[in-house]
Amino acid sequence: MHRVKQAVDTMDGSKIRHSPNLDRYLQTISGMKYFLIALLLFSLAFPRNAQSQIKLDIHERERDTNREIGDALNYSDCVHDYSWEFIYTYSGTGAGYMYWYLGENCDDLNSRKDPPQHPSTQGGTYKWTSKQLFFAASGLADCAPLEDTLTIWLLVMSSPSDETPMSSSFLQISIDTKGPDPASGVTAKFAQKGAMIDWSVNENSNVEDNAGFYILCWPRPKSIPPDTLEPSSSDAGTGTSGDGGTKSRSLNPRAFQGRADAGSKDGGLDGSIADAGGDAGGDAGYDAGDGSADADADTDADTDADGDSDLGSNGCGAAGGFGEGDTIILEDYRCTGRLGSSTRSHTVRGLENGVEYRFGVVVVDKNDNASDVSDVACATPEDVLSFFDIYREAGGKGSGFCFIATAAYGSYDHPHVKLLREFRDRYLQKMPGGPSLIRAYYEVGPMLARGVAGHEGLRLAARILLLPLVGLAALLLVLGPLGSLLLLAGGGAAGAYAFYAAKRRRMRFGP
Amino acid sequence: MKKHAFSAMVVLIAVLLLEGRAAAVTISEVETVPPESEQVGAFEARFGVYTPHVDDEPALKGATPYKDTFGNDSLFIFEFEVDWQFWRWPGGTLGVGGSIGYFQAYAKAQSESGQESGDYTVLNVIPLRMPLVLRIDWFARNPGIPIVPYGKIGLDYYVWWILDAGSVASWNGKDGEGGTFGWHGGGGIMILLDPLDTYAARTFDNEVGVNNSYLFFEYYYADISNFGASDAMYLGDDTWVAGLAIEF
Repeated sequence: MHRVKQAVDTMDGSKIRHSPNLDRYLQTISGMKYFLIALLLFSLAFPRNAQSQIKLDIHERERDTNREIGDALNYSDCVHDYSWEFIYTYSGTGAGYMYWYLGENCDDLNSRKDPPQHPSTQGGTYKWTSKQLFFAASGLADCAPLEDTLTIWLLVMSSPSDETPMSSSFLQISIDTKGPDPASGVTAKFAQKGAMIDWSVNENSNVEDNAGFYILCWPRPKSIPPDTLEPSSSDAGTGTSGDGGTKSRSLNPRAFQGRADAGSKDGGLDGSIADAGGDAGGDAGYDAGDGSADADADTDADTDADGDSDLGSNGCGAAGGFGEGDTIILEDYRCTGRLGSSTRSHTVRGLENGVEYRFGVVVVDKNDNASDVSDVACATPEDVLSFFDIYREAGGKGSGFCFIATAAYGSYDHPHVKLLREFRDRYLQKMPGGPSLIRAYYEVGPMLARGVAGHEGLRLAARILLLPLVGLAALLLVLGPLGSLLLLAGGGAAGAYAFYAAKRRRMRFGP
Repeated sequence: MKKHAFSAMVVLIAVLLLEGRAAAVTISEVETVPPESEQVGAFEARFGVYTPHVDDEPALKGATPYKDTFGNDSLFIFEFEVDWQFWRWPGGTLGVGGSIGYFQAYAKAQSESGQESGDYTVLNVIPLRMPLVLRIDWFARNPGIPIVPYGKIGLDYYVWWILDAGSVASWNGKDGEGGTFGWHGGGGIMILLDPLDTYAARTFDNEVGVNNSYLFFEYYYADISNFGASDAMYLGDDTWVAGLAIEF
C-alpha cells in the first residue's frame, strides 16, 4: 500500500519525490566522493608509499663451520659473540627512516624501546652481535641456557614517535643455548695405545635432541681425529650456572677474541644493548691459553677446568683437565670426532702407553650445544697380546703369503709387466694388506722366477695364469675402479641374461 | 653338536623321502609340463661350524694358542660355491667349481699380566677352494627318490690375517697375515626339494632356468697345512656344513 502511495504522488506531478532507497543510494555516492577525493590526494602526496614493501632476511653470520645460516643461535654463537648481518630491501621512497627493534609487537608504539636508526635506502645490511640478540631475548647479562625466539623488526617511520609505521617487516630467529643432559656411567678399560670407553645416557633425556657424543681425554693425545661435523672449532658448553659462577661458560679464550672482533665490526651501531663480555675474565680457573698444546703440558695439574680437584674419581690417581659437571671448551679436551647418537662405546686411539688418562663424555644436541661433562673414568693404556703374539711365542711359524708370481714374460719392459707394475703402484700399494703382499712378492718372486725361467712350459703356464690379473690391471688403469666395476657388473648381467635367454630358447625350440 | 646335527639330518631325510616318493608319482601323472631346460652348473650357499686346527701345527709342540685365546667352541663359517658341470653321464654330473667363504674368531685381548683389555684380537680366515664335484642324481631321475649323493675333492688356499687393536698384528717384524695351501675331501647328501611343489619347481625352471633346488648336508675334511709343511699356520678341520643349492 505504501509503495502505491508513493507512485501516485509522483504521477501527480505536484512534487517530485524519489523512492527512499534511491535517496539513500544518492547520499552514499555523495559521501563517497569526498572519500575518493581524499584518497586521490593522499596517493598524490605519497605516491609510492602505498606500494612500499620491506623484505628482511639474514644475509650472513659468523658461525661454526658446520652450521647453516638459518640455524638457531646456540651457546657457541653467544660465547663467541658472532656477528649477524641482516639484509633488507625497501621498495618505498617515503621520507622516513629505518628503525630496528628487537622484541615483541614492535609495530605498536608502546612496545618499542630506544632503537638505533638507519637512513632509508632501497636496500642495505645491518649487523647485530649474538650477545645483543641473546641479551635482548633473555634479559640476562651473560650467556646462559635459554630456549626462546626473538623477533627482529624493521620499521619505516618519519620519527620513532610515529604510532603507525609506513611499512614494517619482521624476522624471527630461534635461540637455543640450552645443552642436553650429561652422559653418565662412564667406564674406561685400557687398550693398546688407547682405551675403550663405555657410557650411558639418562633414560628421561630428550632422545630426539641428541646429535651425538664426544669423548674427552686428559692429557690430550698428540693427534686428534678430525671432526667431520665440526672441523675447525667447536666451543660448546652449557648447563646452568648453579655453581655460583665458578664453572665458567666464558672462560673460552676464543670467546674473548670473538667478542672483541665483533665489537669492532659493530662500530657505533650497538645502540643501547650492552656488551656484557667484560665479566668473563675472572671465571677462568685454569690456563687454557692455547688449547691443546697447553693441555699436553699440564699432565700433572691438580685442578680441573673449574678449579676443583677431582682426584680419585672413578679410580683416577691423577687429576687435572676436567671434572664431572664441568662446562668445558670442547676443543681443548675432545679426543674423538663426533660419535653417533646411538653410540655407547668407543675405543679411543692414539694414546701413549703407560700414561694415565682421564676420560669423560659430552653430549651434543641438534643445535650443537654441549652438555656438562659426565662422570670421569681413568685408564692407563698398555700393550696387549694379540693372538699372533701368543701363537708366535708358542712357536708357531705361519706368516706371509705363498703365491704364484713370476717373470714369465722374460723382460722387465714387457708391456704386461709394465702394466702390472703400474697396477702395483697405483692400486695394490694403497689397498689394505697391499704393501705386505708386495713385500711377500719380492721375497718369494725371485726364487719362483728362477724356477719358471728355465722351463718354457712353465713360462707359458705362468703367462696364462697371469692373464686374468693383467686384464684386471688394464681395466682398472684404463677405466678406474668405478668404471671397471660398472663394466664387470654390466658384463655379468649381460652374460646372465644371455645364458637365461639361451636356456629359454632351447626350452621352446629344443636343442 | 655334530651328533645332534646328524640326527636332525637323518629325520629330515626320512620325512622328505616319503614326501618325495609321493610327489614322484604326481610328476609321472603330469604329462603336459614343458621339457626341463639344459643343466650346466650349480650354486651352493653353505654354512656350518668350524674350528681351525691351529694347535695341530707341529712347531707348537703341544702348545694350544688357539684354544687359549678363542676357546674350544666351534664358530660359524659361511661359504658360496659355484660349479660348472662339464660332464653329464647317465648316473649324474661331474663339475669343477670355486668357492669363497669367511670365518672370524675374536676374543678380548689381554695384557702381559693377564688383565683383560678393551681391545679385541681377531683371526679372520677366507677359505678359497677349487673342488671337483661328482653328483649322482640317478636316484632322483629314475626311481624318483629325491636324494643326490655327492662327493668332492679339491685344492684349497686359506687366506688369514690377525687383527690387533684394529690393525694387522705383527711380531718381531713379521706381519700377522698369510696364506696356507691344502686340500679337502668330503661327501654329502642333497635332498631334492622340487617334489615338495612340482609346479613351482617347473615354473622356476621355465622362468629363471633353475632346474633343481636342494637342501644339503655335507661332511668334509680339510687338511690346510701347506701339505704338511712345518712353517705354516694349520687351518684344517673336519666338520659338517649344511645349505641350499640350486642347479641351473
